[in-house]
Amino acid sequence: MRGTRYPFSPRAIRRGTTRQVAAAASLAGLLLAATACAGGSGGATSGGGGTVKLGVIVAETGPIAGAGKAFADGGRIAVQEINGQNLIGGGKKIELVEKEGSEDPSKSASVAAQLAADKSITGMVCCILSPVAGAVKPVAIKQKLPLVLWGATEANLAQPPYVIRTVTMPQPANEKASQTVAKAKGLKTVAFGVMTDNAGIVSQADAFKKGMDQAGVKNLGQVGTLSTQTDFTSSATSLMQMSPDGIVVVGTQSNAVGLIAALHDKGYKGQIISGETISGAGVYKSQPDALANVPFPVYFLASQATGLGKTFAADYQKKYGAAPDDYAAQGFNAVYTMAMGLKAAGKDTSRAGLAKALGNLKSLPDNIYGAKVTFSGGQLDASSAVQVVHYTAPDGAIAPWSGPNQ
Amino acid sequence: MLFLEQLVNGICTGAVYALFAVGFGIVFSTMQILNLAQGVYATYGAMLTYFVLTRTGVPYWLAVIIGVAAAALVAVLVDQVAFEPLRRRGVQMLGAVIASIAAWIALREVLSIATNSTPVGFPSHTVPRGVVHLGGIDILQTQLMALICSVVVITAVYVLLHRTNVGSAIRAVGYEKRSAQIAGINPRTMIITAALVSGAVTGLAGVLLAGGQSFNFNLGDGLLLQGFAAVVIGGMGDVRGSALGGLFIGVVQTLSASYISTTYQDAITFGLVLVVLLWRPTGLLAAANVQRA
Repeated sequence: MRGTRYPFSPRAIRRGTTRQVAAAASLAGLLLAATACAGGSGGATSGGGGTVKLGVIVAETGPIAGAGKAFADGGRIAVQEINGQNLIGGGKKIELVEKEGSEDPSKSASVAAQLAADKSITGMVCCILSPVAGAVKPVAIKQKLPLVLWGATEANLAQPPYVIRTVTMPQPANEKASQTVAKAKGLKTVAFGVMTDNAGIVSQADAFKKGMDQAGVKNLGQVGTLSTQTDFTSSATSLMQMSPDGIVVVGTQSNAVGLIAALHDKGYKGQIISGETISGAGVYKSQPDALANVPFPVYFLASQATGLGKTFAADYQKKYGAAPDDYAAQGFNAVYTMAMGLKAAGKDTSRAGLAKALGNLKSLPDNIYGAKVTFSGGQLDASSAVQVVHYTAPDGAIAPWSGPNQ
Repeated sequence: MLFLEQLVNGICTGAVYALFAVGFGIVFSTMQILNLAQGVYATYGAMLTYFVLTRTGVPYWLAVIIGVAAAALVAVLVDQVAFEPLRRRGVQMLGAVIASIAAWIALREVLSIATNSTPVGFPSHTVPRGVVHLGGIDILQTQLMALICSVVVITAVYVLLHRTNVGSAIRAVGYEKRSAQIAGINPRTMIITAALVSGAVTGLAGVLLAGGQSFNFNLGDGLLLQGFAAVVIGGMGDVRGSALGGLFIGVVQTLSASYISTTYQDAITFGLVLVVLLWRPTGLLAAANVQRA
């Protein structure tokens, strides 16, 4: 009859379905509203108590774990000093949220996505190798998470305001080193041993070539090596066949050391020069005879540091039992730059605020290099801090390279 | 003269590849396992030799023996922990490959932690680092050592596998385990023996490779592809084939890097491997597979 309620009638079923849909829609709406209230566009809430969280993708395992540990340790000392000396101001502190990326592009990109999804993280520090930086950079830009690159050297990686690079670029250092050594030793000819399957390394080699060219040294040619290479005797043979006054060896750490050792064993008597990749804990001990007196450029030398650099060196020595090298200095500087960005951002320590402040950063007046440090297009320039150094035998300490008599 | 010197360089490099390939091939032919942890045995051989040299005062040759023996034990450990349980369950090659990857990563990480991921090198006063001048060619003492050791050890392994009862038993187990068992051979004992020999030979390859250079926990990874290709070229189950394959790869790789391009050396080398396989699909020295009616 009309008005009688039948629970399973088509009308009743339609009514029930409509109520379910309405309930689901309301719930979804509530959830969306809650999410919108929780975070702004690219904004992040800081951790409680004036603490700003920074994500760090470390590389303490994997093929370059030795260097990765130095970067990470340098960053940790930076946090210690920043917080201890209230360098950001207003009682703000930094907390590092470290995640292991093993310097693997896909793993690091995945870790970067995790860090970016955590809205309590305001900025991110990462990337020793250029392929890893290339994988992480799009994640940071898409998620509007300020990223400081602390090691990758391939050209044009910086993209302010979200991607800043505090790497002390090896190219200006290599140019200066080649000119310094060429003039001091009176080199007339040079050959190059270059690890050709890494764009960053090739670019570093180009800088050495430019410096040699500017010093009037004739380039006799290049012998390529590969990152997977395990034996360097044939490469050393090819290089020595050219009879150059000097040989510039450019590669990642094990690659460069392997070629230098092969040249030494083959009895090469000319001047070998290399890049900063042969610095690092344990490297000298692995091939002391080959590496002693091979000049290479660095931006930071603990024994010559002053001011903030001296404090950093002392704290690092105290905590880790060894002097910090260039990699540790870069790790420190990356976190320190983030802190200076937070300082400049003032009250707005959201991701957007930090990005804006980092993008506007023009210099670091107080820095560990004890020299003029500026930013241009998001890239740090500390080329006035470059020194040419070498390992001293037998202790393997790093000291300024003194020139003709070395 | 440069060509001759590069040829010698290639032969010496190939000698190490050959040694590695022999070790790799023993596992492949005996256990039908593509053991991706094989490279790590080479690393353990070198690393343990390094630890013995730096922590004790033993001479180089004794440290090498200890390092090689330790690498052999690591190989047995991996076999018994990773592969034996799978064999009992009748798991096929894919499962064993996955297990070998796990063993590879785990063992490598142990070394990474033990060395703090820093490069190491045999102390300079322990390894002969001089140069031998032979008819206008300079050969490093480490290269000569690699060549001589490879020839001696590969010959010894061949004699073991083809001229002794133990070797026959190992080959029998590799060919048909059940039949070997019926004939009174203990397959597990033979498999362990094969693992020991394989680990020792591969460990020695690692020591010879590390000879005059700095190295880290990744040392053996670079040998894996060359070793596998050498076994494939040479033919499964024949030590001489694996040795020839290793030599071939060493020489082609060195000469193509010197005279064509470093960038394409691997493409050229493994392209030639493909050509060899097209010509001789079973490998250079493999016997034909005979099936009885």
